[in-house]
Parts: sequence; C-alpha cells; structure tokens
Amino acid sequence: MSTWESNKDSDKKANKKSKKKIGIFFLIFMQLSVVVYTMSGICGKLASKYPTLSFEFIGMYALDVFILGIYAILWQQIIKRIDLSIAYCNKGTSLLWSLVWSIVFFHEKLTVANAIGIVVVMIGIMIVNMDGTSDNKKNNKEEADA
Amino acid sequence: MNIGYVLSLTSIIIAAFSQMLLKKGANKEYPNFIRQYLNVYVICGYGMMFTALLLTMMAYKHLAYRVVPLLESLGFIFVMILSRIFFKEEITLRKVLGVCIIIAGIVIYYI
Repeated sequence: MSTWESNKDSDKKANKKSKKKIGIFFLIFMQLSVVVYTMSGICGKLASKYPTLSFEFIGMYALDVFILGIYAILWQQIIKRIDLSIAYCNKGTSLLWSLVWSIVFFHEKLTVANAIGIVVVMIGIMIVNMDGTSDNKKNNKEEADA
Repeated sequence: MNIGYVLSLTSIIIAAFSQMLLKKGANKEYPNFIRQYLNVYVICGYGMMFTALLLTMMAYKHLAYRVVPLLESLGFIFVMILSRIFFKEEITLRKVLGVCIIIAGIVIYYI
C-alpha cells in the first residue's frame, strides 16, 4: 500500500490471513437463513393469537422450534465458512424480512421511515460485505495441521 | 435506572457471547455431519441464546416496544469487538462504517 513501511510491517502483512470476496450465491444462502429466522418470529406471533395451550397454540410453537432448528443448521454452515463479524451483519436484513411477513400475514402498513431505514441498513451491510472474509476453511485446516 | 435497560443489555451481551461459542464450534473438524451440531459448543451456545431470549422478553415489559430492537442493534458492535478478541477478525474501517450505517438504518426504521 505504501513504500515507507518497514520490513517488519510488510512481514506482518504477508502473514495476515488472505481475504477473499464473498460470492453472490453465498450472500443468497445467508439471506435464506435470515428468511427462515424471521419466519420463526411469525410463528410466535401467530401462536399468541390462540388461547394458551390450545391445539393451535402448541402446534404453532412446535413449528416455531422446528424452523429455529433449520435456522441453526444453516447458521453453523455459514459461520464455518466466513468471518463471524461479517456473517452477523447480514442478519440486519431481518428488518426487511420481518416487515415483508408482517405485511403478508398481518396486513400491516409500510411507512416511509420503514422503507428508508431498510435501504440504509442494506447499504451498511453491502459495505461490510465488501470487506471480504478470511478463508476460514483454509485457516482452520492450517491450524489443525500445525 | 429502568430495570428494562439492564435486562436488555445483559441479554445482548449473552447473545453476543453465544455467537462466539457457535463460531468456536463451527471452526472445529467433526467426524460426521450430526456431530457438527451435537457438541458442547453449539448446545451451550443455543442454551445461552435461549436465556438471552427470555431476558429480552422480560425487558419488553419494562421498556417502550420500539426501544428494545434499537438497543439490540448494539449487538452488531459487541459481535465485531468480540470477534476481534476471540478470532482475530480485523476491525477494518469498512466494518466500522458499515455497522454505523446499519445502526443508523435501524434507528430510522423505528422512528
């Protein structure tokens, strides 16, 4: 980056974990996990409409736990592959998906503040994603070999 | 001080640490697919997340409805800092800028 760095600094640079870009399919995969995650919230909300411990209430909660289980499976696969700090920021789109579900299932209205807020959040997430991730799989292997 | 803030902040910190456990579990090699999930890190991680969820639900009773998700956005900062401490993930200018913009977006959303 600059010529005035001492040798020591450049050595440090060389030892740094190499960064790679996050692919479009991986970004979509992460969004899928957020979609699943926000759907569990909807189940909880739907469950609260029914009398406590009624058949529908228990059914909805069972579905809620089932969906959370699927989310847990997806999430482990994600953080196995990329940096946690980056993966976690992608969960910010839960704002968007929760809003989509509340419009679809509960006919709630979209406000201007909602729309602007979501756009701003998406910009922030894109900036974080641009940073690129260290190659977690490779690094893990190296650590295991060492 | 409103007990709701204490509950909510405790919940956020527990949730952030639970992510560290999950990541720690994810970084290990396992003999088969199921063991990726049935191990002490992942199980404890989700146990902590469940505790955090209960605390958040309690916090809702003491705070205005829109304050809780605003406070929860602090989780992005905690996770960034803890990832630096535990996994040496760099805190870059892009990450700081991105997280600030994400939080600004969440604030706008709940205005």
